Amino acid sequence: MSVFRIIAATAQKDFRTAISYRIGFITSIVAAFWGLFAFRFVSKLVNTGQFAHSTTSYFKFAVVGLLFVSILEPTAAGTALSARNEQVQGTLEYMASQPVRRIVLGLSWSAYGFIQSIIVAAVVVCLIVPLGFSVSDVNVPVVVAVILLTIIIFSSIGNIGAAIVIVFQQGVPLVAGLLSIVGVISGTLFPITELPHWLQFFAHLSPLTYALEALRSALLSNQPATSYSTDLLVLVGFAVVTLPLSAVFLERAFRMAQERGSLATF
Amino acid sequence: MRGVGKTLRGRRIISDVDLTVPRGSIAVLEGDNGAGKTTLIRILATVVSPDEGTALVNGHSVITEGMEVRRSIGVSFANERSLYWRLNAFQNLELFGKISGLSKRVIARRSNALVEELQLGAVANGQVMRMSTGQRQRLMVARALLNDPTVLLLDEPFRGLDEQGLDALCRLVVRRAASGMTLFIVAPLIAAVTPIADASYRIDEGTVRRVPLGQTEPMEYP
Repeated sequence: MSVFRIIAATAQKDFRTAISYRIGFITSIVAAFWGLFAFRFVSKLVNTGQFAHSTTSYFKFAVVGLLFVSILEPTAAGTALSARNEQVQGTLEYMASQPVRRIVLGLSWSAYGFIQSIIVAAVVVCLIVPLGFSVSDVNVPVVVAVILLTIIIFSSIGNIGAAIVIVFQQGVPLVAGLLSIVGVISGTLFPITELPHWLQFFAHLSPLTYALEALRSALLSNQPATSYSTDLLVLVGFAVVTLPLSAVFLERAFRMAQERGSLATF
Repeated sequence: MRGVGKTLRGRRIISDVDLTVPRGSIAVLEGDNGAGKTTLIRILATVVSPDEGTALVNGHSVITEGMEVRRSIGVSFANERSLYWRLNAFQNLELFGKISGLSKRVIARRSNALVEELQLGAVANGQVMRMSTGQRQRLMVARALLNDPTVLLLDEPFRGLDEQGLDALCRLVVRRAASGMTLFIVAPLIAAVTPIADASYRIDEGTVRRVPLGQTEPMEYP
């Protein structure tokens, strides 16, 4: 209970800080919408018969991929960025003196980025319906499960990024770069079958590949329940490994910074 | 603290520090800039770990029982940027109250009382970035007291305070000590607080020694 309260309190603090700048939320909606608007025209050039999910228009395929990545990016890179902001603002050291587990601190850093991106994604979905985006026979439990599992995995990746920031005072570009690579090889904009074989190997090491596969099936093509089980099991496996791993990384990072006396340096 | 030492970036910051502050007492530590005062506070607040020796707060080791130590302390670092400047005073207090596990009602009651006690009422609803250094200093003390700690660690709490602010803070310190709270205060010049202290110490080049009350280093001018 107190874990959720701390996460909620930190998200509220970040929300209050964000609205004190006023235009940030609106610009993020405009940016997300404009990116998808362009894909409405790109989709006219793509022959959907060339790849799996051929019953789906390329526009829908790309929208699901881009919107999902737009939710994950603030969650993962946002965690490292929050750690860096706390460091630069001078609040990291004080946070470290509070009776909070390091992993809870890490998860709380990703909360606002996740909530904001979910709201932005919901608003953008409403805006792109007139452009031809629709879903049918949605498997809601699978969609919810995929989002939750992927958020746990990417928050954990963000926590590892935050740990790097705490030790080296840098790390945000590393996480953002990693996400960019993962986005390309995991089928955000095109099926992974279009990739060279050696890259397909790496695509299968990415949790985003399985998340997008399950999400597109659940949102766009009404697959039977059994077809999601492998993807969901793989995502559970990733979550079970990455969350405790990120807790260990964060704990170690704080301990190193305590030994070096660098929590207040940036 | 027993035999506590710390080296940072190749420089010996504190050496073989022995120091005991009895429960419910006020101990003050003075020293020049860079003498090691802040490192000492940081060790007690568990944000810097000692290289050698033992440091206990409320009977808990700062190394092996960090969470227990953090639950029993309130700390105000000298860094006024440890507040969230775009939030107001009440929002800052609310955040740290929730982190400490306090209920909404307790946070509201204690925040109002502390804001009044530290004479921050006129500015408490404005953003922290609009406050003066002295007001931010008092807000940091209010934040440190919010969870009603048994040990209060104050690093340079008098910086930027006017006479009225200094008076309010000294009264608060005495009241808290009378109610059983243990206070450890560090500052470059402690003359203003020696009248309310139970023990005073001086740190020079990382070495701490006890000095009789009222006999802190006199200032000399050519």
